[in-house]
Amino acid sequence: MNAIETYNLSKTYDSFFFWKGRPALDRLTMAVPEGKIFGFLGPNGAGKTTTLKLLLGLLHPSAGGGRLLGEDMGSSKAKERLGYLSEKPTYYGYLKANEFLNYYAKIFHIGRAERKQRIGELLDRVGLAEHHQSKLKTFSHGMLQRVGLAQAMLNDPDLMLLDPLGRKQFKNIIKQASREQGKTVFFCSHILADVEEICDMVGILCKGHLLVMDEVHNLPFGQKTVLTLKQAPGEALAAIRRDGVDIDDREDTTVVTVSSGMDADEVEQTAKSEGAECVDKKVERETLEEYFVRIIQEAERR
Amino acid sequence: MSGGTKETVSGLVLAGILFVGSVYMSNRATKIRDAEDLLNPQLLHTPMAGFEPLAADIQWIQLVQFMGMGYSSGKKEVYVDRLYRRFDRLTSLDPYFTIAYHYGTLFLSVEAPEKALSIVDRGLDYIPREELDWKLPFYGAFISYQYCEGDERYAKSLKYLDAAMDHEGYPLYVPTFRAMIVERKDGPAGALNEWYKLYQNCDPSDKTFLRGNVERVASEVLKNPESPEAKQKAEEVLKELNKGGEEAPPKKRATRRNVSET
Amino acid sequence: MTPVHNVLVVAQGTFVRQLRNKILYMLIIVCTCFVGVGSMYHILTLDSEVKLMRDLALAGISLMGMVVAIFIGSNEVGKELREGTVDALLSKPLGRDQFLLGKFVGTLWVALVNIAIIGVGFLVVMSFYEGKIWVDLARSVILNVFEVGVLVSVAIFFTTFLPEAVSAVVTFLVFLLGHGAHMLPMISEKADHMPTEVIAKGLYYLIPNFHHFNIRAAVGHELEVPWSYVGFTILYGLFYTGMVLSLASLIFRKREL
Repeated sequence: MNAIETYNLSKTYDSFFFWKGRPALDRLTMAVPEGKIFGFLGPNGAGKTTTLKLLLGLLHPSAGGGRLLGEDMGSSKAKERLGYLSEKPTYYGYLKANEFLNYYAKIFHIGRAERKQRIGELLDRVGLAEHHQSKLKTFSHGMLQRVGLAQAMLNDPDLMLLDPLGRKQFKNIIKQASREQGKTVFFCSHILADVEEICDMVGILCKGHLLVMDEVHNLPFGQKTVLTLKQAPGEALAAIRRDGVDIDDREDTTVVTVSSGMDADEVEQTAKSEGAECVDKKVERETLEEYFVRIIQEAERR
Repeated sequence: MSGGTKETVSGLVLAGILFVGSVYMSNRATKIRDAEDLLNPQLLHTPMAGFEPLAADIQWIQLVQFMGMGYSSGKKEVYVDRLYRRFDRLTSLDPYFTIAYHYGTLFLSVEAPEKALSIVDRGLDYIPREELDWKLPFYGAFISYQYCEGDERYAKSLKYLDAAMDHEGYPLYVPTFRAMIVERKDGPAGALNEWYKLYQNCDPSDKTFLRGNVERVASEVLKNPESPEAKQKAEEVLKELNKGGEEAPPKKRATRRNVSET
Repeated sequence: MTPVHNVLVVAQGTFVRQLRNKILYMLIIVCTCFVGVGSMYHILTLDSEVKLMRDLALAGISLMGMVVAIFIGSNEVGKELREGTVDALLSKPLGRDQFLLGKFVGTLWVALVNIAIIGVGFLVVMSFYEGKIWVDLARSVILNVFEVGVLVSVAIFFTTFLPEAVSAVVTFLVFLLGHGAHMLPMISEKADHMPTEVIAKGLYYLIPNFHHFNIRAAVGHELEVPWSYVGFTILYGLFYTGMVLSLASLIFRKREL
């Protein structure tokens, strides 16, 4: 069974009769299998948070629909088995950490004794055990994110929706949840290095359209060429500076990265003709971040 | 019908049913309110969002100070007018404010008797029976007798005195005053019955005083009988008085307390 | 039992939040002091200070209920929407209806507790001063509670689509209009114009008639208020509150969060 399914899920804001409004999501169709860690990527305004909110029933779709763990998205049955961490965790500042988790735990009908035990364990897991009696208004942003993660795990959810992934220490918790406990994790992130490290699948969203969705190892990464230049004069660097060419000027050398799709030989020849000496040339697979940037730029050009 | 539309329709239907229910209950409550009349002096209300009784209390405190201030010479009419309007406003806020009617009537009785009487009338209309006693209508009777003229003088006084005697606890001078007015209006023959009934129903301690008035009126009828029936009635009354075996009271010397000279 | 449980959880959260609200404690102290001070007014009121104290007590209870209903009723839902805490809450298996109803019950609970504290305080003060227990206070307080219920539901209704501050102002205006609603039938009767007649009659039933709940003048004067009147007014309050909360729920279900 898929943990998340959407079919033609669309959202247009501010539409009213003949006024078309602002499209935020356009016919998103995707399926995330159970037990996977899924990274949902996209620049600001791509529609990631909109997608999450639609899945949670906080927003109403303009068209299409979806299912979470086999139940209609936004239904109470679905919510019983999921945990959610929002982008800007805002909680009740007047409550202490354990009071806050206790309040949410009651909604899941967790008994008093079990609540106490679980809250203690969760606070310990997210590194807030010594702050369990502190009021949330005294917490830093990072601490709020941690208590937010704790509330997202209160009901031992089968599906976790995180927006965004958050701190580095969350990575271990998430890896453990997925690999050892078979949970599905769906998160939004800008830190592509983290995504590349832990994700099984990624989806890339741009202006409401899903550009790519696949397992990480199946993504069509391009090849990039890395040139190491010695004593490159300014004119040489100026001549090769363009989109798709990244120049990293270091002390003794200059590292020039030519992304896939560019003519690396032409760049090398141009640099040499302007007086630069090429001491090293190697071809590498582009990183997820480079792939992401390339895909987005291509989409925006279209 | 989609799920969302079904929910909306059923929500609207539920709201509609509850609205109809609220209309029905509101009408029932209004009917009881009107029937009881205690809770419904709505025509007089100055809307104060439910705080009318407290606003009336604050008005009363101000009014007490105003009454105490009195007026300087040459400003009597302005003072009287303002006093009346303040009483009017106060009794609009709290129509059950009994003490305000009493003081308003008394303070305006000399300078503006017609305004004083309008306060009495409003009080009689709006003060609930449990709170009303003989005093306010008695003030109305007294003011009417003092300041009204012609037929109105007796008619109004008697009307107010009847209202006063509709309540328990009134002192002897209320029915005595009534009898006196009847005597002034209808003469001794017309008043004889009034006095005699009063004598028959009074406390033993008052019998002596009332007997004197009965005998006086009966004697006046015998002196100048208007009709044979009147003469006969007077004789019967005197006979009954003497039959009772009570000693006739000693003749009093004319004093200011003799009612016939009031 | 789950919906009821969820409503009570939200209600309890609301109540706990308002325990920290210092304004309510100040109001309680001020109201009780006013009534105590009223006993000193015998000179200024020509010995009718008992009436003044009773009216202060009844007005204080009414004021407390109004403040809680308007400011807390508008604030509770509005603040959660503004701060975004509602997102995390509604991502749990908690329906939007349950959330709204929980806020309503919680706010009413706050009002009840505060009214009870003031009511008992007044009862003690008046009993001490008059030498007898003022039993009739209970009738007025019962109707006051249902009046507060109607006002809270109105406040929550407006908060579902208006910002907090605007909702509080509009609810206050409804409170004022509601206390004058009983005059609308007179306008309807006297109107020569058919549309005016219909509109006045319609508004009379649409605007909450707070005049029904106002028996303060009668209670202050120790007049008998029939229990049948109290009963029908309570039922009116329940039906009206139910209607308003249904409409609020309809709007809130459609709202984008």
